[in-house]
Amino acid sequence: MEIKLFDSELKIMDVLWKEGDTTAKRISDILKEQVGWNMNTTYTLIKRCIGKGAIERREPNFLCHALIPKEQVQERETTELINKVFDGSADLLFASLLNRKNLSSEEIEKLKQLVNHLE
Amino acid sequence: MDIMQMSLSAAVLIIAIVVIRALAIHRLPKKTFLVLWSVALCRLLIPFSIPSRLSIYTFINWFGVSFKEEAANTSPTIAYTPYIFEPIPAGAAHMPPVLIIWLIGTAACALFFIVTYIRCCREFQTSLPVNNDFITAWLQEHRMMRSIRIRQSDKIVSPLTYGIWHPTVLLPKTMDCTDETTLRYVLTHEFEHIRRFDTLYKLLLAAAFCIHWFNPLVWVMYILANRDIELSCDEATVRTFGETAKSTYALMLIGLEEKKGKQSPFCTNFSKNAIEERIVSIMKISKKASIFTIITALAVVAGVSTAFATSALSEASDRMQSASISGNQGEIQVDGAAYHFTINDDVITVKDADGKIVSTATADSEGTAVLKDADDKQIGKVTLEPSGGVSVVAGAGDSADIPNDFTEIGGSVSTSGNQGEIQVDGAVYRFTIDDDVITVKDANGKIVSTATADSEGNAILKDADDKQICKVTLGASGEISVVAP
Repeated sequence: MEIKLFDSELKIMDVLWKEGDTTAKRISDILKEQVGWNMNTTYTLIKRCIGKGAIERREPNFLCHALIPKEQVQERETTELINKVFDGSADLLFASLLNRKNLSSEEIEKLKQLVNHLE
Repeated sequence: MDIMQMSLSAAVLIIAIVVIRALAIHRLPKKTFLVLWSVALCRLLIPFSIPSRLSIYTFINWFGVSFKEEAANTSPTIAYTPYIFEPIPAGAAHMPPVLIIWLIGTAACALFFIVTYIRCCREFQTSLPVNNDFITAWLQEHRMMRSIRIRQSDKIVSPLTYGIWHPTVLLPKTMDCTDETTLRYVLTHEFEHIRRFDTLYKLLLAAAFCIHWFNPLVWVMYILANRDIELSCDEATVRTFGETAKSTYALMLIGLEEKKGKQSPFCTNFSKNAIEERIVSIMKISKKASIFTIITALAVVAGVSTAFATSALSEASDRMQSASISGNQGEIQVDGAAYHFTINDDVITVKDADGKIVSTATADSEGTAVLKDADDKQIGKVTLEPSGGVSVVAGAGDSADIPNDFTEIGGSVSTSGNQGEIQVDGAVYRFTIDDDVITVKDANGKIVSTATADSEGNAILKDADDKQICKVTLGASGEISVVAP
């Protein structure tokens, strides 16, 4: 099942992936600190995530449980990036990563090996 | 002034601005048009006007052009309401259908804007902070009374600013936050919006739109004024970076335009309006506003505001009249003076703004009564209809002029003491003078009319049909002279 989450909803998921099952109240407190959202905003977003099937609400205390793993989202985002920007070719993505100046030579070497390994 | 008058006089002003805008958009500073739109906004939202000798309406009235019928506040206003002699029960709705339609339209427009506004605000709340050294440094450099927040959202496609007291600049996620050149242009542009309170300006435009939704020229104004807000901020941005930045800035705009999508009507969008007009006007921005253009701009603003945004003065003002009625009470405005009248059976009492009785009038056999001011000058006409309706027309009216020509009336007059007798057309009238009030009776002793002498001692006596019998002049030393046949 494909679940498309916006950045703001991913922020909620981030808290759950990091902290494990968390009450809505606590998510709201964390995000107020982190990104400055008020309680209403956070609760609206939690409800949207529940509606999309990304979060399950458990009682008591509006305990939130992530239904999708972080890896699934990462994989989906990467696929989208490859399809959108690199014409569906993972090679081009790698080429692009290799050209980035802010990668250390160590990382580049590792990536090159990865490409060779995948071919 | 009622909504219709405000709308019509503003429409003339808007036409003038649109023409000037079409002729001189690339020649005058863009701020000129914003000031002109502000004048039009005031005209649309503030229900009174400053009379001016230089007003276009003064000239129109001077030349007696027939155009005056269309030009807003020149035509007499007619109000109509069912005629009820009993005091109207409070809250009873006697709203004309036009008013009801207007209210529905206004409510619908307001609802649309409010719902969109709330929806957008709620969505913008979910934006995320941007962690970027350049932006932090930029905010340090550009401090102002209100604290500005810069955030990012993946729900928008072009940069925008929202909030009046706590402005927030929202950047789309698609924008590359490491591209400092673009970022600097975008932030300068949005900062200009914040500095000028453009969000508030847009709210006022929306308010004018809601109230005057029936006026297509207000729609034109809404669209063009929103464009001019952007053009003016573009101009300010280019001026900040120097003329050489023109093409870079224009190309950046085109780049942003490629990612355009749905927009909110309230936010000051960076790339919302007719992109072509924007690009052209950016490229045509001259080095620096010369003194000549500044003077021209000031002259245009001063000229248009005095000519179109004011109302007519003196000679013209007797054309500025309005009348309204509700139940058995009503109001007439003529010559800048307001009168209040009450209808009691077929006697109408006219009071001035201070509540002083200035005259009374009696309806004739056809139900028509002429209302007059203290100087016996006609201020309006009330018609009581057999069906129970009552209509009122403000102003002198055409049939109102009383012929001053007495020679055509045959007859005789005699006076003795404070009494007199008049014979006209075979009818005999007697009159008695009591201070400066003259009572006219017919041959049977029935009172047919009363007349009050004006400041010069003149009074016109009339018969029961409101036909003039003669003119009586009361001298200062007590002598009475009757001008008649």
